[in-house]
Amino acid sequence: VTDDHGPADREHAVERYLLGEMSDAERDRYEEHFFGCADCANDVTSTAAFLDALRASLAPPARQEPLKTAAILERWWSVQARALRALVCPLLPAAALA
Amino acid sequence: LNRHPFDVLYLERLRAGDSDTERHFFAYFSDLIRVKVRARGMAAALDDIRQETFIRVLRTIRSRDGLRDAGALGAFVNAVCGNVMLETGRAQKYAGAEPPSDSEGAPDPATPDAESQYLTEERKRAVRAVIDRMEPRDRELLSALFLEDQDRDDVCERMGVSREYLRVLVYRAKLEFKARYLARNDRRAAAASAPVVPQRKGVNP
Repeated sequence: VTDDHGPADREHAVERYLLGEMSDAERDRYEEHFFGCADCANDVTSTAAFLDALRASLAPPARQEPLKTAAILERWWSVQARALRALVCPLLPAAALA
Repeated sequence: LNRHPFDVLYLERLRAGDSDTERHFFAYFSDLIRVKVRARGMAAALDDIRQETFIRVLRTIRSRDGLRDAGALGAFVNAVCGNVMLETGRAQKYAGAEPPSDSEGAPDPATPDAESQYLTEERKRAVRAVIDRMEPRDRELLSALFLEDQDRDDVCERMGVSREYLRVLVYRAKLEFKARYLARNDRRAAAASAPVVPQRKGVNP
């Protein structure tokens, strides 16, 4: 595989390599080849990127974060309480004087 | 065929520390080292292996009796990377450390810029289109292999296909993806370079 470019094309070498279907010796030879061959290097990196995208696309969509009801209620209540205090507090001194 | 992308001039520039050449060198071999390291299930140590490989290669190139054959640069980087990986594996073994969990196939976590994010989205759309056109059985086959991490022989036997079928399936899907992805990019480039026709004053279109 190292010197002859042909077998890499004929035997689906990229797919076999990236699917982990080569023997150790085959894998070593193929790596030696594509590190020095711009065409095969391009094929290997683009196929690897394609497989990454394929995995990502096949994966089910990530679940949405569940609504944190308690936190939302607490926040709502603190806003209401602040508004109530703002409404009531100015009246307190007058009420006390009356 | 562009068999040897590196020539004497490239090697000279690398030796002299030319920044553009160094940038190309790092980008080109980073991708290849990533593929090689992941193929050995050592993605968790990728950054260390890559950095050490580059340090050793550049040190050799810049030494007095360093690499002289530009055509051998790729093979040299591959050999150095292989040595670094062996040493990393041994060091982990002697340290008694559990090999770090390796999420095979997971893309490298990196903060993408706007351009690369756009390209990623484009790529995802093209891949989605390829998947949508597949036979349900082929989709199921790929899901079982890539997502559920099932034994390949078991999956192939259960679905009544050979390992060769799987290779060809991936190969054809890749070709279709390339055709779609490149076609999209070509259309985008054509639209961007389309001449703007100026409108004459007082003439409503």
